[in-house]
Amino acid sequence: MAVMSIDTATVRRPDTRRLTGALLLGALALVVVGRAAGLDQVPAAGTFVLIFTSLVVEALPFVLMGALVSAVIEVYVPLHWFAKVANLPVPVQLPAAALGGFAFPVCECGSVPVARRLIAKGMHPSAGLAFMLASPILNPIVLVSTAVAYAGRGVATEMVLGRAGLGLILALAAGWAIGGEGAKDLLRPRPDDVAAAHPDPSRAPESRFSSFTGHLAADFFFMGRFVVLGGAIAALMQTAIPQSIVSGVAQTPIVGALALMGLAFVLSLCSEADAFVAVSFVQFPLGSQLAFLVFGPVVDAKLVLLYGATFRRRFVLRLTAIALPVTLAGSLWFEVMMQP
Amino acid sequence: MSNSRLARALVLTAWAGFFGYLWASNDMVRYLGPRTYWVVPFGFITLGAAAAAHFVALGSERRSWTGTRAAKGLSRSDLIGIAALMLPIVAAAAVPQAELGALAVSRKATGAGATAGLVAPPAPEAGRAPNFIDVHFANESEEYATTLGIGDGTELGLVGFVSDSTTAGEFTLTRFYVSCCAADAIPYSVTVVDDQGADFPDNTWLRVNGVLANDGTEYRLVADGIEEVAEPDSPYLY
Repeated sequence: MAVMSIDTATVRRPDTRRLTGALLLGALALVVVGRAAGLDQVPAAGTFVLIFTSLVVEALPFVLMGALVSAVIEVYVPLHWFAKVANLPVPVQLPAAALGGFAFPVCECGSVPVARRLIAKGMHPSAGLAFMLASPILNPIVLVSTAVAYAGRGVATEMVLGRAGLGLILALAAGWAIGGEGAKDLLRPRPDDVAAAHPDPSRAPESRFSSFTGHLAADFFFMGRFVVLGGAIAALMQTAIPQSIVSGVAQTPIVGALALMGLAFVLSLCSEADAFVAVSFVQFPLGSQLAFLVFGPVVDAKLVLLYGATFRRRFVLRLTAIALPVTLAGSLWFEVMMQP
Repeated sequence: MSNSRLARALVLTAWAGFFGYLWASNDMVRYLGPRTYWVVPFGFITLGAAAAAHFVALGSERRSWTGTRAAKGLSRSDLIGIAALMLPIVAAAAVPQAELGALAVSRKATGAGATAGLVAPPAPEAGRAPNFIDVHFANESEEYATTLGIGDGTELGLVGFVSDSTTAGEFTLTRFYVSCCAADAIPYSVTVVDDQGADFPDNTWLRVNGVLANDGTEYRLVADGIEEVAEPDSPYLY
């Protein structure tokens, strides 16, 4: 293969350079102005930035892991594997995909790009969705963290079984109900899909490694922006809205469960860490805490944006319409079962 | 050479650098709790590896370039993604000493009357010095108080920040308990009775020594010594 240097006179694109330069200058200006204005001393700014940054720092490595798995699936897993899976009857694909979540140790930010890739590669949408919704709840890290968090309360086994059971039921129900339509009707097209489908003919074929890094970065940057935006919204809500407004309804089972589901939506916590927060809501019954643990990894502020970018319109509404009653009913039943 | 790939590689490098900074400076303690500290070296390594892989791919792409066509420019989607992903780093750089203080206490408190902390009580271990969490649960459980030897006249020293100084002769001293990250921080507060009536602004870090006195509703710390101190290296309780 000929090694050629690039004629820099022809590769420069003034608009791109100008925009990149403007971005860098803008970022620098924000830092300088922020420091000069003493934003450190503004309580709301400090609270917002700390919560915002901590959410993104905690989530971003998992987004990368999800993008990594997604890129491996795209580049290194042979197509005929997916053809085999796609030929399986849906009643087999659906539970198998949901149970596959046990073996995928990333949180909800990582499961979305993987599910998207699986569906795009031919897995039945119902199965892909079941995997996406089940893996943040069923994966071993989440279940272990739930057990550790509740060990001190003496209900570790009950909470782990309750979370895994209700999470599995929700994933199967939502996957079955929403995934009936085809992949094209479910997935929102992305610019990278177009680029992959119509490669630039002037370029030599990409090496597998180059293709792998390209897909890895494409997914990471695509999903990452929504994690950042979701983190900003969650931080803004935590900075502006007192959480005490939900504590007054703690002891009412239905309202308490709804309140904690609302809080799970606002907090947008990583499923691998949320059990330590859920266990802190001691004035809420265990059923309401279970609702927090099951609803949060399926529908929260950052996920709504991520779903909106990944799936077509109305997906979030349809998912919420299923997740809310299923979680509520399951948590109430769990509460009854936990009564002495 | 693809400008898009280069820009993405640079942003990945910036994030790896940010994680590296948090790790090396130990600044991660402001953002995360001990259960998630591992995310920082993990992020440094994985994001650094992703950046390195991207640069390697860039190099091979450049060598395999077959003509003098214009390089692929940054799309609007690329620019939005890059700008969004740089935002947390820019925010952290613009507000380098961001912290949870009195405002966060008022937002995170879970109900008037409840002293905010709602974490399940730690197993009481006799013999250790009580902290904010212990005083909170001593208010909730006599058995808990007895096990830890908390009662009227118990001598106690606490380091925390002032979160409410609106009542004359007393103020609220607080520490946050963090489980995983600052988003899940929960405030634990103790009312300090200060006969000297010193006026400490909110968010001032203090060491308060005194004795506990139960006023019938809660244990309050009657101060016999108050001094301003620097914020501890690790500002949270774990």
